[in-house]
Amino acid sequence: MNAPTVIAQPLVAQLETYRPTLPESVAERQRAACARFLSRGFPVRRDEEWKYTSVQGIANRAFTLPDVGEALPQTTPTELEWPHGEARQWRFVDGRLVAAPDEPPEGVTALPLAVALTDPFWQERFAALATSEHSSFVDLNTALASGGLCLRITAPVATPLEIVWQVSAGVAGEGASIPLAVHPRLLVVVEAGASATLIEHAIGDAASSHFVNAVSEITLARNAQLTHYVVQELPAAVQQIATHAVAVDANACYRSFNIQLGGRLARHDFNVHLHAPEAVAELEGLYLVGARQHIDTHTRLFHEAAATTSRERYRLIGLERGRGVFKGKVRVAPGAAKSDAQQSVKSLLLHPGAEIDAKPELEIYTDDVTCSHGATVGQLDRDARFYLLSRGLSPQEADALLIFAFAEAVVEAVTLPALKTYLTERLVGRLPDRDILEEQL
Amino acid sequence: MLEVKGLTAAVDGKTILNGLDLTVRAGEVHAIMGPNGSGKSTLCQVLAGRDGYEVTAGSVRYLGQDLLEMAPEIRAREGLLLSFQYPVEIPGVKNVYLLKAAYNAMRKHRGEPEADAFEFMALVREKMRLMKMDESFLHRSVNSGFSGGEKKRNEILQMLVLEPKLALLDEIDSGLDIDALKIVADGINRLRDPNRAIVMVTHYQRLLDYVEPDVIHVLYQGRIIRSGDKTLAHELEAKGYQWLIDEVAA
Ligand SMILES: Nc1ncnc2c1ncn2[C@@H]1O[C@H](COP(=O)(O)OP(=O)(O)O)[C@@H](O)[C@H]1O
Ligand SMILES: [Mg+2]
Repeated sequence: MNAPTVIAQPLVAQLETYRPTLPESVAERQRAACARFLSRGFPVRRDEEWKYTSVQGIANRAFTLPDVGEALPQTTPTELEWPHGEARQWRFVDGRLVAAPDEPPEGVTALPLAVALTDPFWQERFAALATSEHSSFVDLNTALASGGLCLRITAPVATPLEIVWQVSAGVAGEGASIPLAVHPRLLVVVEAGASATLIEHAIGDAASSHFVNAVSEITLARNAQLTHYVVQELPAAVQQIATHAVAVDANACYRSFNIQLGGRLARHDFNVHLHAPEAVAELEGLYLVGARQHIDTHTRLFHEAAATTSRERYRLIGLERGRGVFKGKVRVAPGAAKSDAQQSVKSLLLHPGAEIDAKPELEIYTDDVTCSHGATVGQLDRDARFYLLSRGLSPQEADALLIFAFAEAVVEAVTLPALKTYLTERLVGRLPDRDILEEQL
Repeated sequence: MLEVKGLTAAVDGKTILNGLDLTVRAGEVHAIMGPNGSGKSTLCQVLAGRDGYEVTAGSVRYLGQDLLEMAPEIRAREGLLLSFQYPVEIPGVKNVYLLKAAYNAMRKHRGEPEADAFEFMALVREKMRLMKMDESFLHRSVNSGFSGGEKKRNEILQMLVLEPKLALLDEIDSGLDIDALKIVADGINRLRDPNRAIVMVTHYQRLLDYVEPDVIHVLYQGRIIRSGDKTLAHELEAKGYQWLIDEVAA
């Protein structure tokens, strides 16, 4: 069997001979996205939104693109070390669906992206929420989308839905393996009154140095609820850009947990539109920034209707010589009276070489609102530390407990017991003095 | 047990303790009174080893050792425990973790093996019953969202579990209603022991009605200006501090 020739080139060069990757129904949109991307190029540091995050390491690097075309796989998921409990799992490797549940839970329809896009329901929703306005990475994903999932929730669903996005070591090349540029796309529609819990878990082969450019488009209809866990545990050399575009209708509630643990570069954007009265968004985030890691999240909360509510809580821990960036924008539109936006961002620097930039950005165009925000960067609370020492705990024990408590504030809010246990273990494994914590907890 | 001589301490260059002398023997209960800002909490914090205070003169011997040379956690493990005027809220650290970590730290320090988890919990539950605290306290974060009274009961609970040799209680009675005061006072009386000393900072006679002190001291401007028996407290309750301050100044 002849192995196909693997082309590894910077992405811009590969786009010169562009062919759409998805069904004909969206080919025009794909071509247009490709053209827009080519005219704009990758974001640069001069762009305010990319001030702290350079993507030169993505733009200049040679990648190969995965083969396209997908159908429902015949395999059911294998066990992960993760204790799923009742979760139903879809597993992707390099953007290709490799395993799906025999049957999704009642109230859920799940289709691979390429299959779904033959249906007008999904055609209409593809690239409707995530637009080039967010960043040129969205166009790049629209042009190159290599696989993904479309989930439609039509009833309250108790069983958690889990998507595992896995990256491989790469395609065998001469000498080293060649990294892939993977463009997964996720579409989620939660219909009126329906609810679900969705876990996106990004993991991979330790040898991987892929570039993952993910886009998700999430629609919540009236009275819908979605709890969306993003657990990023990518290998140390992987670079990931992810854009989450979310639209929340009246009385609906979108809740996200953005748990950033791995990767070389991870930039996540959450653009949440509260476009009808009493829509609610709750955004929780936790970073552990280790050596040579760069973790960046931009959240943008758009209060576009009256009496909309947002709650945001991020906890950033700089463990080693790495960098964490957080920017939280809240925009309250003129018509959004009686809106309530609260943001709390706290950072903890545990290493002299750790760096964290956390910034709120409020744009308020109406008087009748309640907004509060606070951002702190610092070391451990001295009073709390002394209190623990005065009870006989060693300085190491005191620090370990306080650091854990700082991060635990977010993990504590996780409502799935199995996931909470998993995250707690992961957390303890990454924190200093883990043997102390293991003994204590 | 405790011998403080000429203790002088400053914060940010401002002298707060100014030549303080205090001797406490095993089995005794002392009360320290005095107007706000006279240095009572500072004394407690310095004895517990809080950083940020500069001891510029004087000495403190505790059980024959130089207390000021000991790290705060060693002081605690050697049996000197402070109940804070303002117990610190520590979100995310559960009460039960703190109790267990503290209990085992003390045992380890004495060369004893770690407590059996089952026996430890039985002990904690017994003490919680005495303090009229329900089980849920164990799994709440340390002092987080506790009412004033709950915080103070929690401080005494820690004392009952950790069994100090010298208990320093800084305004343990502040902000307590009469029922809570009785519970707390009852807890303190249980701590009374021939081998243990208790030093209580208080503003009120009320506490002293329940926990009778052997000695009462009045602290003013960083030193003890008068010591006496419990009748001194009655006098202070009736007349305030000013007459005493005037008398000492004269
Ligand atoms: N950390 C500190 N920094 C500055 N001043 C302090 C500090 N702690 C105490 N003081 C000052 O020292 C004095 C004594 O305070 P404190 O010991 O709390 O008194 P008391 O407990 O008797 O009311 C007060 O004037 C107080 O303002
Ligand atoms: Mg005081």
